[in-house]
Amino acid sequence: MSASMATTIGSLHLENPIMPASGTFDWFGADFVGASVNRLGAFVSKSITLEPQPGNPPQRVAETPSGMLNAIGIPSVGLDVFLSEVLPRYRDIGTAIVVSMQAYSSEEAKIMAARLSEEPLVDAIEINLSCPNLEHGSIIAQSRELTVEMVSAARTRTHLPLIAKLSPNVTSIVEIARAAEHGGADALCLINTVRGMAIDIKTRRALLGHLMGGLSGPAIKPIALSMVWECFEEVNLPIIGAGGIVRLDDVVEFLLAGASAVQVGTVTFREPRTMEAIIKGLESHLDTEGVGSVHDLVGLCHEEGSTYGK
Amino acid sequence: MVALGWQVEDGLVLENSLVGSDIGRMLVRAPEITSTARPGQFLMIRCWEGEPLLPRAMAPLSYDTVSGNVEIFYRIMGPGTEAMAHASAGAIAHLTGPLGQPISDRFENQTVALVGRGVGITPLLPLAKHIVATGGGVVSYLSARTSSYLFGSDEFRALGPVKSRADDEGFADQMVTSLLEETCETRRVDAAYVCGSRRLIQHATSIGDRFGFPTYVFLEEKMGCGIGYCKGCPIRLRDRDEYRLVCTDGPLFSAKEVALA
Repeated sequence: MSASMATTIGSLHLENPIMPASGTFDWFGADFVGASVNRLGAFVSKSITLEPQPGNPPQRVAETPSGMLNAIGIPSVGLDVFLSEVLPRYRDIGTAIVVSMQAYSSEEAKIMAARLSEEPLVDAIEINLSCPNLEHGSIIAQSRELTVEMVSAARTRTHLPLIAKLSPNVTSIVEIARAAEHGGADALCLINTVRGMAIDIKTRRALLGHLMGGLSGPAIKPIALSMVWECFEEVNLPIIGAGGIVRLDDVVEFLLAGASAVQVGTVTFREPRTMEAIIKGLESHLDTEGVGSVHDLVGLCHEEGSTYGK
Repeated sequence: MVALGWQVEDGLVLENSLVGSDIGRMLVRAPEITSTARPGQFLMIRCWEGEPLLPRAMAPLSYDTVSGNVEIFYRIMGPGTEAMAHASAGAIAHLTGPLGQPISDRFENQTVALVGRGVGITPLLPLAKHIVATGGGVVSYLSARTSSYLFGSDEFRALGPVKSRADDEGFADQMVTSLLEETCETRRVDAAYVCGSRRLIQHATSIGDRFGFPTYVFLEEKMGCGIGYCKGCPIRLRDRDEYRLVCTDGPLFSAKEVALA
C-alpha cells in the first residue's frame, strides 16, 4: 500500500505538499508536455494588486551564485480584470487554487479579501506581506503592528484559509509570525526573498533597474529552513516552507523542520518539470523509507516541546 | 487537455567548437522542438549541470526538420555561455522551446530588408527562408567584427542579395545601415527586420521612418525562464506606462510599439 501524500494547511486539504511559489509559475490555459498542473498540491497565483500596476523597469532579474535576484515589482492587471478575465481561466487547473494578494493598506486588504472570498474557484488566500520591490520600500512584515493590522483586516472579510507570507528580512521571524497569528492568519508561508544587490563592474551601476532586489534559489535554503524550524517551535500555526528547494531532499528537510507543505520557485525557471519530478520522488521516498504519510515527517527534526501538531 | 506550444526536451550536443576568440557554434539534436519551431522563435538551453542556475536564451541560426538539429551561435559573455563553450559532444542539452511568438505572415511580392550584426544575425536566417518560401524577396545587411562572424552568409546569399560590412575589412566606422539607406534611394523596401544593438535598431528605424516602411526588431532582455513565468524580461510600450514581456509577447516587436531609447 502506498503512502499518503495528502497534507493539510488549516482547513485547506492538499493532495500532496508540493505547490509553486507565487510569481514563479503561471497558467496559460494549457499544460506543456511532461507535466500537468492538476498533479500539483495547489496552484498559487502571482500576487495581484487592487489597482493595475506596470511593475519595475528592466533589468528585473540577475543571476548570482546559486541564486537569482529579482525586482519584478508585481506587474498586475488589477483585481477587476483578474476576477473577470484571469480567474475564469483557472477553472481548468483541477487542483486547489491559492490566490496571492498584495494590499497597500488595510482598507485595500479588506476589499480584496472580500471579493476573492466571493469566488468559488478560490480555495485559499495568501497575503503577501513581504514584497521587497515596491516603490515605498517598506515591507509590511518588518513591523509587528503592520502585520497584525493587515492580516486582521483581511481576516475580517474572509472565511477562506488565510496564509501570511513573511519576509526573512527581520530580526526575529518569530515575533512577526506571532503577529500574523494574532491577526488571525491560518498558516504561515516562510520565506519570501532575501534582500540583495549585484553590481556591474563595467558600467559601475547596480545590475537591477530597481537597485535592490530579492534573492531566491538554493543560496537561501538554509535561511528558510532555520526560520521554518524556529516558527514550528514557537508558533502554533501550520507552515508552508519556501526558499531554494531544487530537489526532493530539500523538500524532506523542510518537512522535518516543520513545514506541512512546500513551495517550489526559482528552480522551475531552470527546469520547468521539477515540481512533477519532486512529487514522484516524494512518493517513492515515503515508500522506501516506510513512512505512511507526509504528516509523519512534519517536524520530526524537533525535540519534544514544539507546540504545533502535538 | 490542449498542450502549450512549447515543450522541454533533453537534446544531445553533436558538435561544439569555437569559431573565433569569443564565439562558439553548437549543433544540438532535438527533433521534437525542431519539428515545431517557427521563424521568430527562440529556445532556452542549459547544457550543464550545477552552476549557473538559469538556462540561457538562444535564437538558432537554423532548425533542420530533416535531421532534427538546431544550429546555435553564441557569444561568450559570462558564466552561462562559458559553460556552453565547455560542453562536449555527447552532453545533454536541456532545451525548452520553441518559445516566443512565431512569424506566420505571408510576404507575397514584398521586398524585405534584414539587418543583423554578429550573433544578432542568427534569428534572421529562419525568417529569410520563410519570406522567400511565401513569395517575398530579401536583401540581407549583415555586419560583424570579423568576416568569419557573418554567420550563414552563404545561405543568405542563396536567398537574395547580401550586403555586408566586417570591421576587420576596414569598415569599422561604417554601419551596415548606410547600405540599407543606399538601397532605399533606388528601390522600394516594404519592411525591415533588425537584430543587433539598440544603436543599429535606431538607425534602421529612422531609415524606415524616412522611406515609409515599418521596422520590426528582435529584442533581447535578461530572462529568468523564457516561458512567461518570472515576468523578468520587460519592454516598455512607447505610448503608455505598460510593459510587454520579451519572452512571450516577443521577441519580435514593431519598432513603433516599444520604447527603444
